[in-house]
Amino acid sequence: MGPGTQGFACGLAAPRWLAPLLLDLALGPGARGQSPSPAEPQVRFRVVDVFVDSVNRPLAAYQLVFEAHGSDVKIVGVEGGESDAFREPPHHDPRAIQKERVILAAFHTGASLALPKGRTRVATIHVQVQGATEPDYEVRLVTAATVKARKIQATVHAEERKTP
Amino acid sequence: MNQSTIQATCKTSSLARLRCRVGTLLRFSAAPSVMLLTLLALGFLAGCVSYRSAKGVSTISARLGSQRAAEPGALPSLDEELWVIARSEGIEAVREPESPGSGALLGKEAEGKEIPLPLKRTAVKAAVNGNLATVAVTQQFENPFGHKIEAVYVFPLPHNAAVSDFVLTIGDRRIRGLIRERAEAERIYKEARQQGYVAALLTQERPNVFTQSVANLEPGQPIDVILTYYHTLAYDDGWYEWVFPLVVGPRFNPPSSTDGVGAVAQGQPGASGQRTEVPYLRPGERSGHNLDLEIDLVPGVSLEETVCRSHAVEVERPDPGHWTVKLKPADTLPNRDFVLRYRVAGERIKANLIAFQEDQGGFLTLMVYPPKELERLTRQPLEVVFVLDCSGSMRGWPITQAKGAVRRWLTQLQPDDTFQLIQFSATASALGPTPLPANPDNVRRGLDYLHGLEGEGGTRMIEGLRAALDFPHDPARLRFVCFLTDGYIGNEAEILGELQRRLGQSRVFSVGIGSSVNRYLIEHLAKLGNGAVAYLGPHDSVTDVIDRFHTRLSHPVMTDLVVDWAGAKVTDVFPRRIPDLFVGRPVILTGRFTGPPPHRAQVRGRIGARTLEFHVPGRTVLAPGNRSLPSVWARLKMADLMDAAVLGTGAEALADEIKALALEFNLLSPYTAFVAVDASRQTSAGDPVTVPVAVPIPEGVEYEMTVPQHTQGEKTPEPAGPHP
Repeated sequence: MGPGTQGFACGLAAPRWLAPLLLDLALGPGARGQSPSPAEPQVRFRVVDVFVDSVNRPLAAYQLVFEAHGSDVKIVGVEGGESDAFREPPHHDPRAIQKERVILAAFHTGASLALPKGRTRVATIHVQVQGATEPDYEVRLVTAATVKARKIQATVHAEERKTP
Repeated sequence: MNQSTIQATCKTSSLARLRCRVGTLLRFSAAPSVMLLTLLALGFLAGCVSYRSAKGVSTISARLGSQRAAEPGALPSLDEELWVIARSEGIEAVREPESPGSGALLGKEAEGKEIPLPLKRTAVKAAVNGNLATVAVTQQFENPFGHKIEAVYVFPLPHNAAVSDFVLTIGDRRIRGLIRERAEAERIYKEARQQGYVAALLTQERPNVFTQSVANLEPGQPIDVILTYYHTLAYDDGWYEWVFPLVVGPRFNPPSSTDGVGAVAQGQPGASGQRTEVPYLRPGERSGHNLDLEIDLVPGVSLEETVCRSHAVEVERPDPGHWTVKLKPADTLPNRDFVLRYRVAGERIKANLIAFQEDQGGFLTLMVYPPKELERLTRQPLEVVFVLDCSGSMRGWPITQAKGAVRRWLTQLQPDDTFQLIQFSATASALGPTPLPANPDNVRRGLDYLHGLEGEGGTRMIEGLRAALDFPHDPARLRFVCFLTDGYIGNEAEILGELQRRLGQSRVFSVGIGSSVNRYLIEHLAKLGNGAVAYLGPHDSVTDVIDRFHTRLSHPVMTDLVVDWAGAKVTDVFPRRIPDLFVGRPVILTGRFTGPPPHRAQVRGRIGARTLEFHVPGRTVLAPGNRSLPSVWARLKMADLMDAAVLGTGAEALADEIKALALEFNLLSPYTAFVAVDASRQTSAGDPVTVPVAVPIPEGVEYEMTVPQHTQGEKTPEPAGPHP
């Protein structure tokens, strides 16, 4: 159903202007602003997975900002991640939601063994899309930390899920 | 980047706190075990509008197969015809009593048996801390049919509930819903339903009536919807009261009304002609809807006694200062309010002022208790107008309780008091045209008049209200108007607007009679009428309730209260008009402040011609872990705006203000709604069949007197309404 993977990866240290460039390099110019196939309804639903990659450090907390551009997108659900530590749907700022921008945050203080390392899906955003073109998703990591509140280097990535 | 502050509270054994600001690092305490995460930037607010079409509803029928419900949770078996009603726009209602789609076959086949319905269980978990409760309600839906369905459930919550969280659970996946403008949420839900996605929508029809819709429930697939709300508990003469309503009573709507809450027989959707409808199970039918209820009680002071007259409960005390109250498994029929009362140690709670300080200000709550000397003073002569609801829903036990209450009250009047009795149902009438001195002869006349009253006919409360408030007033006496009613009406706004317009010098006292009364109406009659409220349930003693109520009215009231916040910048204090202080009942104010918190409050008021002043010391809590107070404050502000809106002036601007507040604080309201969609999977093709969840008639209410039986082509009840 989906037009394919779209995404945006951003490390903590990466300048913001690099984001669109990296995206275009990774996916090619045709990946953005696609039109839905003729068979698809103008109002359609999509699922966007949000991944954080903390490399080899256990991820205990994160905060990120998710936005969609280029189309009429409404966020219709926020789901938790794959790890038990982030299974609960993350909390969000309702004022940002009204502008279709999600500020998500979650933390877990369990044993380090229970915390995910490497690339893990921390949240899934369910959206409704309206209009002729497919939206662009942008995600920015505000912070990521260990269980001892130490900031860690991490990257974040949003990817539209291919649904059957 | 958004610079709003996010606060996370990490609850450990030492309640260590964690805070972080967007763009700054998180700081954690070491090895915490349990954690709560809250976002300061979270707003709350909610409001709703019905998801149903403004054009009204219509019905189509759909055959689900020849199946019988063998046992709870099982698919209907193959030797029974089952028909359910679907709701679809643009198709005119067609109902034939014995035809597919009428629902009649379902009822007939299942007489005396469990009716297959998609709501399996409601689980309630409440945590009460001081006078604030956080309540999580899990509604478990499961499709007992062989075809996918949409479940629609109209249910009650406390009228002051600040609903601030909504989670759709499918298997082990949990999807948090979002607050939206109601029309937008309804559009999203409708689109998802049409495209086959599992979706849920929560709307508010009245401050205490809500609709839960769950689309594309597949056969046998359980789906939970969890909603969370905050509210304050009532406090009265040393007792706190926690109430969880379980069923919406069958309401009367004026003949011209289409925006009410209609009562229909199970299987007759759309028959009431009202925007919101509650289908009721017939006598002998049951739904298989089970109830779990558990309360964690941390009152903050010593607890001396718990009483639950409405249900059988088990009370345990796992540790000092902590009690748990659980519903016994044998008492899970959801046909009456759950009412838990508990008495705290000491003669009374002390007046207190608590400020919750955040970065730029915060929220505060002030509890003012009546000064002791109020109890030593005697009252002026009274002029009491009793107004009895004698409609069909009061027939039987409720009217007996109401008459018992008036009888008890009449015999306690003093000789220099006067009284009058007014009854209303489809019309209103009175014992006489003028107030009668409360001498033995007149009291006897009153008792004789009372004896002849019965419950029958519609609930034209507006007639009773006008008759009572327009009754000639003796300026030498204090005018008390006392309503005794179950409040089963759908035009609350009209009643409350009329009350405000005609109140004059009267004070309104309301007594809710019954097992599942309309507490929103009962409370607001008293609130807007500068009076007080009491409830008389089926298991309560008339003598106890009325004597306590009478004692309250037997002393003067402290009026014209003004609060000086000792230089602090305090704004938006609710209720906006500070209620008068009655003996035994504190006044609780909730507001917000900027800058430093108030360190004390100076309260000034009048008792007759005297002015009395006292101060309440304040204490400040920094960065509280409990985020319920902002939600409670926002809910109070919305209630205040709604009270102004019922007068009809500036309603549009008030609606906009309520909506903005609801969106900011993430709260349900008449103008906002929660919606959640699982966009990860489409169910099989085809529209789901809509199945309204039928509920039992409230305990003590007679089905035949309250639920109209419609026949073919009949869209609205006869003029008398659902109470024939």
